[in-house]
Amino acid sequence: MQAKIKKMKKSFIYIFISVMLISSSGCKKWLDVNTNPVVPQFPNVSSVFPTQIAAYPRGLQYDGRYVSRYIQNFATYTTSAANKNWDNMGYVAASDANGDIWRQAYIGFGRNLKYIIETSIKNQQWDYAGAGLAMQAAIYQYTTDYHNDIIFKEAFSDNQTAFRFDDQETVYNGIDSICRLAITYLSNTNYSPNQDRLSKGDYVYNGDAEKWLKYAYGILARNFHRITNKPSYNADSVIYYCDKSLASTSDDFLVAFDATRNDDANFFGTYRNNLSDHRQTNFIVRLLDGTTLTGVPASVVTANNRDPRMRHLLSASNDTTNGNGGYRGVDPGIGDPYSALNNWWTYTAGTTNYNNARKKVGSVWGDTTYANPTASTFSTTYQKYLFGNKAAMPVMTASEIDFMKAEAAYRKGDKNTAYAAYIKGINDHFDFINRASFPRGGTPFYSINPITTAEKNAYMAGNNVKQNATSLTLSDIMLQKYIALWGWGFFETWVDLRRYHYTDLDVETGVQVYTGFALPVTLASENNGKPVYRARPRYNSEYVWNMEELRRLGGLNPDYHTYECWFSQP
Amino acid sequence: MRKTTASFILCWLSCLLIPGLAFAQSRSINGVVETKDGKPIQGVTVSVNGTARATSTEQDGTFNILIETGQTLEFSSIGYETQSRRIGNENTIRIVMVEGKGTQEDEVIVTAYGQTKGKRGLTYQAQQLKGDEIAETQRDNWVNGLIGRVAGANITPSSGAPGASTTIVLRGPVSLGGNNQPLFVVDGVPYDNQTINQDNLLGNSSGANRNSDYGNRAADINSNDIETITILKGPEASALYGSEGASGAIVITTKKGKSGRAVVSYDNSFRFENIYRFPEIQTVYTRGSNGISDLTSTGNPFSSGTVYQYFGDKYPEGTKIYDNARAFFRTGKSQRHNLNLDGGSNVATYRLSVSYRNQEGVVPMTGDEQISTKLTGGVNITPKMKLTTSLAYTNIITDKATKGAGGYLYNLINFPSDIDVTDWINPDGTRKLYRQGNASLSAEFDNPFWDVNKNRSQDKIDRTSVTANYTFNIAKWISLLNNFGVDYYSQTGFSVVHPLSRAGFSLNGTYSLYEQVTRNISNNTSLNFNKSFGKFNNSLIAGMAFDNRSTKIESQKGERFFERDFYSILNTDPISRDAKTVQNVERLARWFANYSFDFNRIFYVSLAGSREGNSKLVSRAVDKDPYYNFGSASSSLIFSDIGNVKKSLPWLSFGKLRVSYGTTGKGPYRPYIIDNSFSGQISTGGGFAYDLAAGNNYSLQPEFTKNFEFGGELRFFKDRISLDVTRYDLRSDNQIIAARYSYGSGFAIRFINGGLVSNKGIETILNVKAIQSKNFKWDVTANFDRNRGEVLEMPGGLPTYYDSDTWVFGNMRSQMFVGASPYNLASYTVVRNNNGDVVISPTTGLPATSNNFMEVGDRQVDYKVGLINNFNYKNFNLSFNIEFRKGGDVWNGMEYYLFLTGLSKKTLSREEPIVIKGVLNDGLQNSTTPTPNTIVIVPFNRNDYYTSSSSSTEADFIENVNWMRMRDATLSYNIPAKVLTKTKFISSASVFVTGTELFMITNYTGMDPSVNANNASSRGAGGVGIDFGALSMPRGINFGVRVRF
Repeated sequence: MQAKIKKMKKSFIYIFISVMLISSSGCKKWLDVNTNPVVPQFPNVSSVFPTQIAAYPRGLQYDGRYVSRYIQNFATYTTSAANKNWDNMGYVAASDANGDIWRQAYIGFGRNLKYIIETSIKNQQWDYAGAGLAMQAAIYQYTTDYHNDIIFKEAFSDNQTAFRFDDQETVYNGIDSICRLAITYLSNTNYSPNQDRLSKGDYVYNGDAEKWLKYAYGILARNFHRITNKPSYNADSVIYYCDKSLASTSDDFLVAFDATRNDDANFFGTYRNNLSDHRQTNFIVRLLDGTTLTGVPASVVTANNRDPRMRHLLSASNDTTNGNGGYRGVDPGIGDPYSALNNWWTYTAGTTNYNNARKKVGSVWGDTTYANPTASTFSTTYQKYLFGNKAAMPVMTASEIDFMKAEAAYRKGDKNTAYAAYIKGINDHFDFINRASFPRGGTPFYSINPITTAEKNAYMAGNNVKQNATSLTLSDIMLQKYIALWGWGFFETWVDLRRYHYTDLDVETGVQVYTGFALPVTLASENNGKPVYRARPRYNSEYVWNMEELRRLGGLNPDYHTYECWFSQP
Repeated sequence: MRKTTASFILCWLSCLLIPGLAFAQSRSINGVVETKDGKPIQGVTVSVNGTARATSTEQDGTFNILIETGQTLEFSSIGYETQSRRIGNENTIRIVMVEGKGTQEDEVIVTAYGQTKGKRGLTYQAQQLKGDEIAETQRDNWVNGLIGRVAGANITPSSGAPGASTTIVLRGPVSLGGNNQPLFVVDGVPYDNQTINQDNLLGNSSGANRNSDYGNRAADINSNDIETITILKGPEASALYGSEGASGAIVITTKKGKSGRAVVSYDNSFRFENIYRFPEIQTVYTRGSNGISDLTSTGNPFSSGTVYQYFGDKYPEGTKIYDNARAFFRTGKSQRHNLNLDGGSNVATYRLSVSYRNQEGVVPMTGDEQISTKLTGGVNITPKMKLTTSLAYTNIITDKATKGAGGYLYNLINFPSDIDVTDWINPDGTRKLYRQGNASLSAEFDNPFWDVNKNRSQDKIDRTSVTANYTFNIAKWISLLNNFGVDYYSQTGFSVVHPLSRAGFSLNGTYSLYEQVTRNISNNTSLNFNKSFGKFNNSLIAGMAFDNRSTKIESQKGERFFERDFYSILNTDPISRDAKTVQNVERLARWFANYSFDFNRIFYVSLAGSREGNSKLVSRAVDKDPYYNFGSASSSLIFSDIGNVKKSLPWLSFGKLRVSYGTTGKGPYRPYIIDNSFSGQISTGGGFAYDLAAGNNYSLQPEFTKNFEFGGELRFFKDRISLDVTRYDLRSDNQIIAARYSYGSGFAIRFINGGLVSNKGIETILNVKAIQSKNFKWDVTANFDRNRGEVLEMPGGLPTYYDSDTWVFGNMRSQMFVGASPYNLASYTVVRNNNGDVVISPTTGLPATSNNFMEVGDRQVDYKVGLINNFNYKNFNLSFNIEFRKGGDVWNGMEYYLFLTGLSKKTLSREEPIVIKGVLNDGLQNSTTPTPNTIVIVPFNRNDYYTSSSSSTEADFIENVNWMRMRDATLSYNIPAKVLTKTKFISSASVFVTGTELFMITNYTGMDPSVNANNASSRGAGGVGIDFGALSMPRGINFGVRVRF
């Protein structure tokens, strides 16, 4: 008995020791549960790609709220100091406002595009790799044009917490390389047969690699065209890339919104209500009512000079006695003189208040709306142009490419090519407005009815449009481009305006290229009398955490935003 | 319905149990243990030699135990010499205990994994509390009962509302961004103490962990089931518990059945509580601006929502002023019933406890109801094998109110004093509106009554814990111990924002629900070897432990109600509904060994080591070692027993010195951050994108804390006075931190390693048996602690780190800098010139604020003292716990809010002209001749003096707080045995009155400085010491009876 117990004890200890030994070696497998059961940690690129398309408009629209005021697409109707500051080419200190392009570059796109590119190359999904690289090139282009020096080479580096900024020339060369890589992959049709193709998850072009290729060429064209003030500028390359880029409205890069809830609705629509302070400027009103392009102030007599696009882009007031059909605008930093008045119907008809209240500048969401008519509800009743809950957001259009080509050809002295591209650009913008169908059931951009052929023909043959190549001026091209990009192409327009230092004169005609464009009467106090030339990097990314690098660049100076970027310098 | 069911169950159980009284039929022996003077002694351990059978004496000194003729009974108790008695044929015995010296060190305490260790040679300070002492405090959350009783514990309830969570941090926050709460262990297995983190729920746009509280789950333990609580802070204990015990451990043993006569006991408690510290508001000036009354005037401090501003003229004479704050709160009531049955034979014992509690909180519509029951059974399988199992079930339903900005408390303080707050609803069930003219539902705060009645939220817990403790005494010198546990609970809840509420109006109501299911399984096995060679006593513990933890949270949210007053997810617009799942699975495997020896019970050495594998460090993408090692070495010396120390120092009865050094590793606080961390997107097209707020890091390593501590224990005058002192020095490096840094990283927040935090402190426990006469005893215990933390290096060399959860209002948050304490507060400050003078705008006469977060306060307490007095006079017992706190900052965010809206009493001087002292910002401010400010402001006409965030900043509302508060006091009376014997079936009975939070003497001007702006789920230093929208602790009085049959 005693012996038996002893034996039992012994075997027990042996068992215990062997269990411990076995468990210590077999445990690594038991511990292998660090894989998220509800979210994939190595997802298929087709699951990541849609998030990147959705991320695209975010940065552009968030920061578009501010840049659109620098370029006078919009100005504030209020007298609020913070709003006026943007109109006056200032910024808000210690704030993330106008830091969303930065966010998009590094954490919206950032590692996600990197993941798409690296994974798809590994899996021989060349279309994903190409599309990912094209978007990566595009966002770096936006970011450097916006901020000048940016994090490029050290971006996403794992083992550092401070990042060096690269100068703009370095970034430009880098974008060139990324674009070429994108083009190489998009041209490779030797896909792995076992993997998903781009059509899964791509709701811009439905996986059409040809169209992505055109988009990639468009980015390359932008990259080459920005240095018009430099001796190294090569117009032929720009024309070459434009010719390979978006050719018609069906090539336009548009991002759709499902508009079922806040997170998938257009940031510029009524539901999300982000343009409530924004009003059309007098500058765009005068471009569309004929004043600027014909040189004759709008009046009832010159009604035929009105651009048929005006009623689709702009909002009219109740009072239509101003000579252009009731389209009024505001000047930057001034506000709407009648903004403080209540709704016109609350006053006795015929009184001054009644009359003035009917002259208020309309909100972007519709004629005779002076505030958001349906904030926080999903109404499709109110939509003007791109400002609807389910209206797509353009990223690049054929029309933009046309005007880029026109300017390049014009600079080269090839006026015929320039003229053809100029005419095509206007036509493409009419087509853009008239577009009937959109991805994911998006709503049309036109108001109620499309522009009729007769209206369009009348405009093309009218005083706003130059009728031959010899009379074409740089202003014609740039102002028509301004119209075509109004309401969405804020960043491109800002590049254009900065290339012409806002108010440069056309050396050929002696007229200001952006005819009628005036800097705000009062510039923001920190500007020291200079217009804005760059945006300060995102506050809660760089000013808080990467300050030493900003100090090196002068980013801590209050007027850093007035430093001219490399691209527009000679 | 719920209440009646519960009462029924209670009755039924009582009926069921009473007949059970008759079952104990084996030979048992009754006895009484007394002092020489014939006074009964309670708590004497009575054990049968050579068996595992043991019991302890009751209040009247009686005991009952099963025995066979010829066996020997042993009687032991602190302060008395151990007695033995061989039992013949007698059925009753009387034992007289003789007071002895130095027997206190024979007391054992429970340490890691259900092991016990003698206190004498213990190489670290470990405080052990009796469960009954904590239960007697009658706290809803028993963790609050530890306040003042544990040296070195920082215990902060998040508010005084029912179901509020409590944060406990031992010593200091060693992790800047990790979890600093200790591990709770019940009967050798971990007990989950999570608080739901709002980051894991849907619809959390207003910031996490500030507007709702979900309780801390350790509160689910029924304090009446607790036998002992041991607080382990030292390195050795935590070295054995591994990364989970890196912030210390609270080791709980529960009551077990005792062999012998079955005992039924019942106690109850009835409680009334009220709020006695109210927010103070001015009732002189009415709504308006710049001195002009306008009953619709609003302000919007820091865009937290438009609210009434009180910058108008005086209330017209004769205006009826209502005391709305007092009209709102009600007297809280609760009742509690505990029923215990225990008994057993020499083979098996069992204990059943049933507890029922029902509470109505001081805030209308809030309250909770708890039913818990626990069944513990022990069986001697063979004389050498023992198995103890327990099954505990808890059900708690808590009705909650909102917290923080926009919550009922803010609605209440901002509510106009000239309107009766109790008039809150229209006859048609719509919200009563008070702002004339602009009567939009989103344009004015909800009446607090509307808020608590219509914006309902509730949590419901169903928790089952099973433990099994197995002991096998293989031989005299070797035994095996196995502890197995399953801890399973589901917590479900909902919250509603009514469509007619301010926040619900634009969305036409929101309904959210969640369900958290947690299932933790753990097992640990250890072999204990004990062998003495001559004067060397050796002990070795070697074993392994496994933990498997899984928590899954499902949440849903819908908007746009169909039926106005119906609360259900199905009452929301289908296309507005959203769902979210978070699941965390973690596993830990640990091998540990602890070798200790002593020489002649004078010199002790202990070496402990662990090797731990942590699933949170496993990667599928890179080769990564999930294992890490840590350990400790410690020693103690009983110098009083060396040579003739005692002879030469007769007043010294015991003296011990100890020193130890140890390390503990800590993995990341959450899983899935080594490999890519993606998150589901709800933008057009859906899909997955990198989680920008939880950037993964392949190279993450465990963080390590090194602890050096030394101290000693001295007892004087026959143990009448004892003093235990510990000095510790903790250094935590390679911190794992969810750091914000440049977006160049690809993330907004990314997990990185680095940094160094030091925590040094001292903890002392002083016990004085002041009076020990026959009829009167006075015992005093004083727990003192002081901790100084400092951030020596920031991770990654980053300039700073802040916890966004704590940024609840204005610009004040918990933020770290090199050189600052881990409890640092940072906020904006006014601009000063090079000379330090405030720079004043020449146009407004007001200062400007610099938009930089500066160090403005340190919430670290200078020191705390918990003073526990215990008086015993015949059958009366009075004990009370007074807590003292010296220093440490608290941000009175509530007062700042009141200031900005013109309700603070500080704004009553508004008619006096003021010139802010400073220099004008005229270009000369930094010259040698700055222009002094002479701009006169009459704040009455210039309310920007109050409302502009620059004339007073957050930092102006930091208060350095001292307090003395009566945490709890209990007076009880034991009904004399003479009286009870007449009843024949009651063996002992007592009545008691207990008060909690009876008074507070403090220099703090707000409601309660001991609150937390966040719930207990926040990490790092959390929102402790940030007072914004939390209810003060109510004052409560309990009374009840305890009866033993």
